[in-house]
Amino acid sequence: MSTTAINILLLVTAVALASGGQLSMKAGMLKVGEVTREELSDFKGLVIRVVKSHWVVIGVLMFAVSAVFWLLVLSRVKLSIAYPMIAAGYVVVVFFSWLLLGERVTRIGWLGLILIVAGVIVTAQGL
Amino acid sequence: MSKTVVNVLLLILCVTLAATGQIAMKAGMNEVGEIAGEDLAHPGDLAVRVLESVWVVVGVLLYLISAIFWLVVLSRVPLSVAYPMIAIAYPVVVAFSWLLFDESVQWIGWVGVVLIVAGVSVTAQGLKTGVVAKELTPDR
Repeated sequence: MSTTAINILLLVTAVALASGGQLSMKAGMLKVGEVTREELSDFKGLVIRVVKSHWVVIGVLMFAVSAVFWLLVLSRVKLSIAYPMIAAGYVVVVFFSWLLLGERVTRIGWLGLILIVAGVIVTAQGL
Repeated sequence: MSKTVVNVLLLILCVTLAATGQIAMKAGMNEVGEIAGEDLAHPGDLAVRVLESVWVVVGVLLYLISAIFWLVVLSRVPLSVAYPMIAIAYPVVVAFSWLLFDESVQWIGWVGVVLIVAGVSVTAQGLKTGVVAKELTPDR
């Protein structure tokens, strides 16, 4: 495999894990419910409630594994090119937020997403 | 403070922590050097080498703190709005990559970042719509 192919593979893995982690964390926090300032005063109780949601724990773990892949990417790719690539995760996250979590995405939301994806594709030319 | 102001402040904190975390991690991995396939054969040695870099540890910690604030944001804002808002970190990180690490950013790189920022601004309109819609819904 060429260096570029390996770098793309590492980036895709990091982004996929980060996106899966985000969706999992959101599924968990939907069960926990809205965290308000009053709840921050009982911080311990709040932490127990959040950790008890398995989706949050799975999401955080995926996030952690994604960080390991991310460090591998950073050792090989310029930050100015690697970092904007993370935006590829928008497609995955917004699409599944709409599909699985039932979030409404407005037409303007999709339009913004298309612009972000175009930006990612343009930036990827530097890889 | 209104709910929207608190949400925006939380998002700004998240972006700042995430951006500084990335910059610190990159500074650390520049010290560690390029990791190739052969390095993965000795994962223990590799982990020690990476963790010996103070910048990597600081960067990962900042990243973790940003993740905690992210959880708070997630409980208050729809993911389809919160996630694109984080994109403000892109121009910040690219600018600091150029300033601190002397990374040559090609013009096409800036075009990509401008498109991403434009996408963020457009998607942010969904925040207003969402808040208004929420306030107008009587059962909320």
